[in-house]
Amino acid sequence: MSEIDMAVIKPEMMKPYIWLETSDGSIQQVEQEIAMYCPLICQEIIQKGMGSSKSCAICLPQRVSPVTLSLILDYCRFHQVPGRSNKERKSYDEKFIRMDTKRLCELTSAADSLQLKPLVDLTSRALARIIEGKSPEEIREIFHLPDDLTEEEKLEPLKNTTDDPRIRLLNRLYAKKRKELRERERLKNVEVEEEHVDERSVDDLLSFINGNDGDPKEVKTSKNKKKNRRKKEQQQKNSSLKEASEVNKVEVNGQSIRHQSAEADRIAETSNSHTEDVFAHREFDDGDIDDGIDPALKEKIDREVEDFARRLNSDWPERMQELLSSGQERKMMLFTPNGNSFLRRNA
Amino acid sequence: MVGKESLRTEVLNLSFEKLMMVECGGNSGKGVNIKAGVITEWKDIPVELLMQILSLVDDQTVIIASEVCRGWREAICFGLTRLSLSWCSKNMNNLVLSLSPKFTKLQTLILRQDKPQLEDNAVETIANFCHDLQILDLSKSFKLTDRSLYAVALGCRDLTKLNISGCSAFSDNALAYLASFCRKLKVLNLCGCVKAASDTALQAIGHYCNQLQFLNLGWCENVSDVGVMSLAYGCPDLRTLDLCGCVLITDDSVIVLANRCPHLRSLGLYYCQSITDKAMYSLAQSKLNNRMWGSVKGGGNDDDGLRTLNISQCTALTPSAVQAVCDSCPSLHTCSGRHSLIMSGCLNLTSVHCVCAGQAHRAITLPHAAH
Repeated sequence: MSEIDMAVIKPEMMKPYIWLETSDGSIQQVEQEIAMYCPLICQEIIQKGMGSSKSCAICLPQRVSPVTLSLILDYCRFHQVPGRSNKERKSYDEKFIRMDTKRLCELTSAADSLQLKPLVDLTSRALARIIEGKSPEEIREIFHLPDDLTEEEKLEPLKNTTDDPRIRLLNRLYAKKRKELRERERLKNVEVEEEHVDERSVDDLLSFINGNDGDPKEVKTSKNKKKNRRKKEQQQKNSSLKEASEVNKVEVNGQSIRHQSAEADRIAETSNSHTEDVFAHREFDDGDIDDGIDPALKEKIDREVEDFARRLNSDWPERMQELLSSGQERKMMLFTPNGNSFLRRNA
Repeated sequence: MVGKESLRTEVLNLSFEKLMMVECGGNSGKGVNIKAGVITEWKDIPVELLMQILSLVDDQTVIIASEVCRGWREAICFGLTRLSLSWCSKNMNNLVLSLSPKFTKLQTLILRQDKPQLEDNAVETIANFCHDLQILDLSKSFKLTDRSLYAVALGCRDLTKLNISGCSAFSDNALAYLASFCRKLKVLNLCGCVKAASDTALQAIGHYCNQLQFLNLGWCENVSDVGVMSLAYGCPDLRTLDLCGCVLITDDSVIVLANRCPHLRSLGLYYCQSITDKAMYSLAQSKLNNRMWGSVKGGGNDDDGLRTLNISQCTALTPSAVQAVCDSCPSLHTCSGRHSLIMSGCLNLTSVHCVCAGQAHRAITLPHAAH
């Protein structure tokens, strides 16, 4: 072998190697030049003279596994070469971080423990991109994290200005009334259509009008019965509404809409079927209820609702006015599911 | 050249092939347990590392991250030092009430609003829990009252920067009280705080906040010479003072500022129409004196003197006085692109030129003179 050949081979053959011990106890031999790219390893070599033999291998931090070490060394091997352009480095980095999240986390952690700042920055940016725009549940799923926060510890959901039980109650009543009215209108139309095809003779009709078929008194009493029953039902409904609004009032003034009192729960459980009906878990769309309603009837309902609002909210005139004026456009805000049974059922 | 490029690409590809092989056969025959020593649960991540990652995401994501798990919550509560809620357009008050007790290590809190949302209870919560606060921005919080300032005074004594511009409900008593507690203040923005920025308040600031460097008194119409002179005497380190729209200011204030605040770099006198040449000459003279004194001490600095001066609408000034200031402060520029001497609305000052503009002007005119 000529001297020139020797000169070419010699530096390659005499390339210094160092010994590194990973967290699992396995020892690897690595080119010193590449390993020195990591400040921690560099420090160990220069200050303590470690790594020169297998017996005094540099013990790497707990977070560096053999797999992550191989990745880190590949990164160092590429970036340590002086002649590369920024474009090449960028391209390499882009491909380098294309790995599953678990491995990316391990790599970030290992690079951090080896004080390899460029790689920490690179992987941190990648992880930040993964986290951004995700919900807590999604982040938990991605990183396999435990859901160990209690309900109290979790951040309170943000309350919208319209997201108040009293307003929601009013919205619901408003929408329900409209729906009932629409139903009544539809039934009336059906009856009118049926009346057009009346096959009875004139004599039959006259006798019906004169009331010869049955005792007129009896008819009257049944009518009165119906009236009384309706009145009773209305009173019952009003009392249950008042009860519910009282509970809500306590909650709003106490500034604790989410954490309901036991009292509220008890009232919720004991409230009768009418209350259940009023608070049925339904989202009313005010927009489509208005179609084809007689303006006079509509005005009557509006007056009724305004009256209800006055009784319910003597302390909120401006907000109620605003709500009633924009009642048609506004979609009702649903309450957060974190609250307890009463509000959850009512939402 | 092409060969070189293809060679590099080959090296790149090889490198990636190797990278892909690492997991499959990188440690073959050694019986390595890959999972040993690795963080299998990412909740064990060091606080510093998690905070570095979260420093790269927006503030909304940081808040969401604090809801992920107990480990992250504790890391964020312990490590988060800067938070801005300016993006929050609807529920800032609720958010502050909810977050302040958790993020107790905050040093910077930005609560600038486009429409007023913050109320006193939120600021009181901040003051009760965030005792390390150094920078607080409450600008445009029209709903806040003196209660907030009293709370901040008692709870956040390490404040160095406070922005309460546009908080028109604050009184001068509350501001004076704040000044007596927050003595480390270096930056104070009182722009538009007409009630708060009175001579009484400025006297208190001058007395207690001796480290003050930046003060914005824009459109504080009640400020007079008494207040500004108190500031000049009490805050010798003052570097930026904006008196735009302070119509009661006269030459006396500027003279005292020129003599007592050697580090003054920016002075806003927009619409201070009582300012005359006397003030300008005092500025010019004081800067010359400072430079002479600096050269005697051996620490002369060409950059000394005013760098920004706004004398727009100061119609009583004459070109010679303003030119004197320009000559004594080389950092003042009238040339385009470096406009730091602002004179809009002063039609009689069109002849004033900075040093470099004058040199350029001479360079153009001299050849003609030679012919």
